[in-house]
Amino acid sequence: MGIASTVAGRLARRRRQLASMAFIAVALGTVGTLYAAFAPTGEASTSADPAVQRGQALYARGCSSCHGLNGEGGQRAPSLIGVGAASVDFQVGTGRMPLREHGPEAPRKRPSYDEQQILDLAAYVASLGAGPSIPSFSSADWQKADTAYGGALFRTNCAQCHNFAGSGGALTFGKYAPSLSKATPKQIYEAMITGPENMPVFGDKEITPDQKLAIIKYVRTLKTQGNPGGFSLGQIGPVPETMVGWLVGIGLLVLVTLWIGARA
Amino acid sequence: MSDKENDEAPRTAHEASGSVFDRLKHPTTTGGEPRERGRTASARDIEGEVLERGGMAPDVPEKVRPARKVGRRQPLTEKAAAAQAAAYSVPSDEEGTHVVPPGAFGVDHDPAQVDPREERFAEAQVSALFALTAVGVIVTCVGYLVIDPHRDLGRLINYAIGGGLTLALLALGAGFCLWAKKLLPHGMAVQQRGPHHSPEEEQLASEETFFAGVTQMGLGSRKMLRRSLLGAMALLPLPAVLLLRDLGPLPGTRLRHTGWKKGSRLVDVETKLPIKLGDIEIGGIATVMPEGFGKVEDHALAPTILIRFAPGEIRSKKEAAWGANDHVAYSKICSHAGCPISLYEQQTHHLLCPCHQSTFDMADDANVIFGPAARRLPQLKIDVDADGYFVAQGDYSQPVGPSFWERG
Repeated sequence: MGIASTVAGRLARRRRQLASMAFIAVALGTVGTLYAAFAPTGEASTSADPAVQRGQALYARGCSSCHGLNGEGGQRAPSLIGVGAASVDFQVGTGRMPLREHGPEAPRKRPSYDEQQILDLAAYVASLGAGPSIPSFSSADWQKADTAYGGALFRTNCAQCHNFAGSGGALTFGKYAPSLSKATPKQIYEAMITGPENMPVFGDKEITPDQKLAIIKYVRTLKTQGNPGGFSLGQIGPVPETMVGWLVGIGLLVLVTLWIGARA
Repeated sequence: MSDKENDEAPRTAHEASGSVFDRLKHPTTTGGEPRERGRTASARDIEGEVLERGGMAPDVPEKVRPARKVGRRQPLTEKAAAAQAAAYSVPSDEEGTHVVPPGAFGVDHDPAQVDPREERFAEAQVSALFALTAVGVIVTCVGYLVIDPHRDLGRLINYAIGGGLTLALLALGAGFCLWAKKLLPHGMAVQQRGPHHSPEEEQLASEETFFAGVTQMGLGSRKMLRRSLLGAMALLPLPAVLLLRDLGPLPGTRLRHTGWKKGSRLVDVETKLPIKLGDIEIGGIATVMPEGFGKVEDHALAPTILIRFAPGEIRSKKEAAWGANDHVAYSKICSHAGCPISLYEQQTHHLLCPCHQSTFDMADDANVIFGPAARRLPQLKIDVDADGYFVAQGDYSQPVGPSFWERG
């Protein structure tokens, strides 16, 4: 044993140290890669896409208290993994989210975020898991659709809850189908593909994109066309019309009769 | 006032008018009583036949009466009274409608006493209303001829016709009312009516004739005739009962069967395309019919809803077994009153009937959780065929739609 052996021993020790460090580095890298592959939620948050990063910041502030830090959901709110960008654009764009209070139905209200913020949030939620993306179509696309065909589809699939004129209607236990008068074409499309709240989902294989555009044309025509009958009374059917006929119409007649009788 | 006093009712027009004015304070008769009936009527007797126009009851004090600008009664001068008496003279022995002089029953309007300026004003008012009628008619006609009914769904033309006719009829009615109120004499018109039944002699004569006929026919003694007549009369209603057959053929077993057969594909009711596994998203719903549907009865009985659940959401084992790949098919016809139901809530899995709010829990084999429905919706057994399309495994195992008498 001399100096040489001492040096050799030192070198060997250092090699072992280097080897173990390399091993640790390789192991950590492998695990990290595997984790990234199998748990995309963790990795996606560090995405290079600036929209996703902005969206994540907005999400952490405004949504995570109910939907969880990584969109995993909680007792008060459903998971957002896989709901897709269309769902975010609909829920936040119509002002339903952030929720004002827990109740049977989230009402439509003024959106809390501007358009860019909504797109950022949608990009972040879309990065959590695959889901329906925001539909893109121009107003020319739906304006050339067949109104009558859209009306037939609407009456088959939508009118039972949303009423023949899109005025909405009551559901069970305080829930309701909202009026479609304020819905934009994009929001109508998004509602069909995502099925917000208790609305059933109408996927593109059940109602094709062309049929969806025809439905949009019908709903928009309902909104813009004139009403030849005078007072529409909300177009919610024969019950209010009869009620007005009896109470207002016949009531006025009775009052006039009483007045004539009192004057005679 | 007694009838005795009224017996001395005047016979001439002059007397009649005079006598009425004599009794201004306690008016009870209008004169002109029918003489041939041998009796006269006091005001009390003919109370129901008095048509009172524009006046209050005779015994209402002057102070309580509503003040009227036009036609407020002035004290009569002797000359005016005489002129009036002539104008309103009552023929004594004729039946018909007679006009009673103003004031006789507390009526306080008299055209002779109306200020001519006010009268002209009233005339102008009525004429203006009639002119409005003409305007309304012109608006209606011009609206109909000029406005294009195909623009704006004919909204304007509806307003023109409806508004024009409303104006015309309303103004016409108001004009007549005003005319009657301000320009016509506010007298009382009395119309005499005879009794509504035949005289007793006639009734007795009829009775006598009838029984004489019965006796002559010998209904009492000729037993065979009587019995055969009764038999014939008893049979007479039979055709009426028999004709009820024409209300239609009996339903037979048609209420128990729908258009679904083993192997019929589920097709979309609107596009008529068969539905493949995967066409419907989780939480989706479709209204389906048996392939090749088209009969009226198909539309009444066969409508079915196809619902897709998320895996594990179906709580009923039978429901899951009768479905296929988390898809289940149920009759769309409500088991209460037969309304089509598809108000489906995908989170709560409630299906709500819009007619009477029957609510079915679709995750629990369509159990009724609210409303008047007494039975679950019938489930259609479905399967997926080799090409991936949904097919029925047979017809519904029980009648669909509302209960009926012999349903069992």
